[in-house]
This record gives sequence, structure tokens and C-alpha cells, in this order.
Amino acid sequence: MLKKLFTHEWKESWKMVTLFNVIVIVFTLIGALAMTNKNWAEAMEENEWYAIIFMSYFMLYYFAILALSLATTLYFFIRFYRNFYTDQGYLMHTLPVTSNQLIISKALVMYIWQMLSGIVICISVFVLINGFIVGAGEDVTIWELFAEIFSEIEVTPMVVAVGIISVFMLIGSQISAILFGYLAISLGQLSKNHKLIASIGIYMGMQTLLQMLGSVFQIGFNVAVTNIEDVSDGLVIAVMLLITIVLFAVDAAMYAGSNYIMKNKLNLE
Amino acid sequence: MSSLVECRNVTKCYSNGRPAVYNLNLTLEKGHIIGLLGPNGSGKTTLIKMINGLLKPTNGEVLVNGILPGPETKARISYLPERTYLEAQRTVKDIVDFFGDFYEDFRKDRAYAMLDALHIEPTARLKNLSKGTKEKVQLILVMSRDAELYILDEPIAGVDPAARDYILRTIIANFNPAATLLICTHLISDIESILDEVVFIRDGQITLQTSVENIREQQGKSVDQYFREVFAC
Repeated sequence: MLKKLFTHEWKESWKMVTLFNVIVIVFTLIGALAMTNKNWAEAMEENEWYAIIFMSYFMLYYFAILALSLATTLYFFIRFYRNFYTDQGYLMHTLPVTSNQLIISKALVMYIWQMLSGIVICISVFVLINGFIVGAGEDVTIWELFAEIFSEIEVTPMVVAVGIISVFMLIGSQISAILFGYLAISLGQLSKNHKLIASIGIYMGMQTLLQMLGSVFQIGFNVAVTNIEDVSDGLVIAVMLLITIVLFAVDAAMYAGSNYIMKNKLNLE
Repeated sequence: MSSLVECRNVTKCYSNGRPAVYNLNLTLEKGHIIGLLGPNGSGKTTLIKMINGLLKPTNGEVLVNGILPGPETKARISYLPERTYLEAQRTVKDIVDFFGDFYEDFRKDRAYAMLDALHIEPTARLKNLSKGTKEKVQLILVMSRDAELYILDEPIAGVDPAARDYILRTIIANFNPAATLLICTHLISDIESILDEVVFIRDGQITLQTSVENIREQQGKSVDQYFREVFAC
């Protein structure tokens, strides 16, 4: 049943999210092609209008990327809310599936699209920078520059460990972003009235609280590190591992919270 | 006769603390067409939601085929809520495929035959259909299943009188005699002819459960007349 739920969620969402990504790709290609064919550094010195066009493009590009991330996240949160907590919930919650399957199928599709959008953004930034370098008449591409940087990194056990833990931290934080939204939406449903507004309020409140806790942790960590004369590799790994474990524990708690509300406290209008 | 639905001392309180259903006991047997009748706010929809697993009782338990509501019972119950619950962007065919994927007992050929009889295009998007046509689509989806229990909440309220006859005929024609059909409606006179049994509910409690024949014989009235008398304001 999980596979069926996943397939239907994918079929119903791919067009819209693909459109968001295509807009960024088109925007990138226009910029990259324009820059590859012109040395903008020289052109800007000769004519101020080129500088204005160049800056305007990058501002728009920045907002396009921001919009892609925001729109993807918002789109999937809205789907979660509408599918499970509005009239559509009468269909979804009477399917012969568990609440676990409902949440996991939605989270999986959202996670994959967030990954894909992230990859699109990374490639887009590289393509633009490459266009600028090529346009400036340099004999090197960004890909060659990166290959050079990576070839200079000495692969030690410490680097490998940090790399592996970083990947887990990245996955954990991406899952957090999804489950955080799901929990806020689900908690909002416990409100008697104005459930959507309650969800948004809870989301913002929880964000603020988490940021404050994060800042306190950061300050504490910095103070501790300053007072330790020799920060060993082992300490760095231990702290990173601890953060990763806490991150996944928080993910599990947020998932359990959403699942509990959906299973035991569902109250469709 | 074996029981299909059993409600034992069921109470459901919402956040205001007031019970919508209070200490309710009810047994529905297999092979009956039952009208669940009561005034607004009497607890009909709350009871239906609990049978469907959309609400959890505060106290007591609801059993369907001897088990608590969950994926297994949902696979056996075909439920038509009073809401339009389908995503507007989808086509009728999308929804038929969706039901076909999730419900093993769903009969696509039956669904398409009914859509054809009501002149509903499978390629039409739901957002382009009238409210009444959407309700017909929902009813078709629900009646295209070979379920053990059909629960229809106001199935004919939004459709024109001409279509009502077709819908009632459709319900009877597609109804498996071994299954149970629970209909909740205010249009009692329209459905009276198909009912075997009625359940009256008031203030979250069952006040009467009897056969339609009994009402006619003992009270000398139709169900509609008797309902009006019992629930007169």
C-alpha cells in the first residue's frame, strides 16, 4: 500500500514541482548563454548599463532560487494539509492504509523533490559561474577548478569520518525540515477554531524557539572550544556524532507526534 | 443473524466537553438496509465517523466484524460522506483508477457503466462538474465496491428529484444482499421504500431500533410520519 500511496502522490505532484525547477533552469541557461558570449567584467567597465543589467539579473536569479526552495516546501506542506486535514481527509483516512503509511509516502515524495531541487540549484550556480569564467576569457572551467581543489585535499580517516557524518547530518536536517512542518500542521488541527492559522502560528513559534536553542548551543560550544587548548579530532567527531544523534532523535519525536495526532486525535470538520 | 457493527457503551466528547454521543449501544446485523435517522446535532455523523475510524471514542468501543476500526475494516466499508472529498483537479477517470488501486473490491466496469448511464464523461475534471454531478460521481464510486458495509451520509440531498430515483435504483441494483447498508438522511420519504430497519438517534443516544414493518403495523404510520411525530419541535 505504501508503494501505491507513493506512486499516487508522485503522479499528482510532479508536474507542479517540475515547473518550478524548469523556471530556474531556463533562467540559468539565459544567464549562462549571455555571459559565455560576452566578457561582462570588461563590458561593465565600459558601459554602466551592463552593470545594471548584470546586477538586476543576479538579483532576479537569487529570488528565483529562493522562490524555488520556498515554493517546493510550501507546495508539499499545502498538499499535506489539504489531503489529510480538509474534506479530502475523508478519502485519505478511509483508505485501507495506516497513518504511518500516509505520512511516510508524503514525506518520501517531498524529500526526493527537495533533493532534486537542491541538485538543480547547485548545478545552476555552477553553470552560471562557469559561464562567467568562460566569458571572461579564462582558459579554465569551473569543473576543472573543482577537480583541482578536490585533488589537493588529503584523504585522512578524519576527513572521511567528517564527510560521512556530514552526509548524515544533511539527511537528518532535511528530514527535520519536513517533519517539523508536518508536526506544526498536525498540532494546529487540535485547535478548536482557525486550524490553519494555528498551524502557521505553531510553525513560527517552534522555529523561533529552535533558533534560540540553537544560538545558546552555539555560544556554549564556542566557549567550550575556546577553553580547550587542544581540540582533538576525537572531540570534533564526538560532538558531530552527538549532534547527528540528537537530530535523528528529534526527527523521530516529530514523526511520532504527527502520527499520534493523525491516529488518535483526528477531527475532520 | 450475525452482527456486523457493534457499539458498546460508546461516548464521544469533543473539546467543549459536551458529549456528542453518550453511552450508546447499537448492533447492526448483516444483510439489512438501515436508516439512521435523527434531527440535526443528534450525533449521527459522529457515530458514522467512529464506525469509519475517523474519530476515536472517548469511552467504550466500536467493533466492525469483531475488530476495532483500522485498515482491515476500512477495506470492507464503503463510505460516502456528506462532503465533496475528491481533489478538484483530477479527472473522473483518475479517481476511478485511484479507487481501483486501493480497494480490492472495487469494480471498474460497474463504475463506468453507471457513469455512462448518468452521462458523466470519464475525462471530465471534477472542478468542471456541478455540485450534484460530483455527488453522483462519489455515490458511483462508493456503490461500485463489493463491500460488506455501505455507509451513505445524505446520499441524495444534493441531486435533483429525477436523479434521485436513478440513484436509489442504483443503490438497490448494486447492493449485495449479504451486505449491510446504513443510510443517514433527512429525505426519509424518498428512501423509505428501500429500508428494512430504522434507528432513531437523539442527543447522542439510540431511542429506537426497529423494523419498518413494525412501525407501519404498530403505529399505523409511515416512517416519515412517525419520525415527524417523535422529533416534533
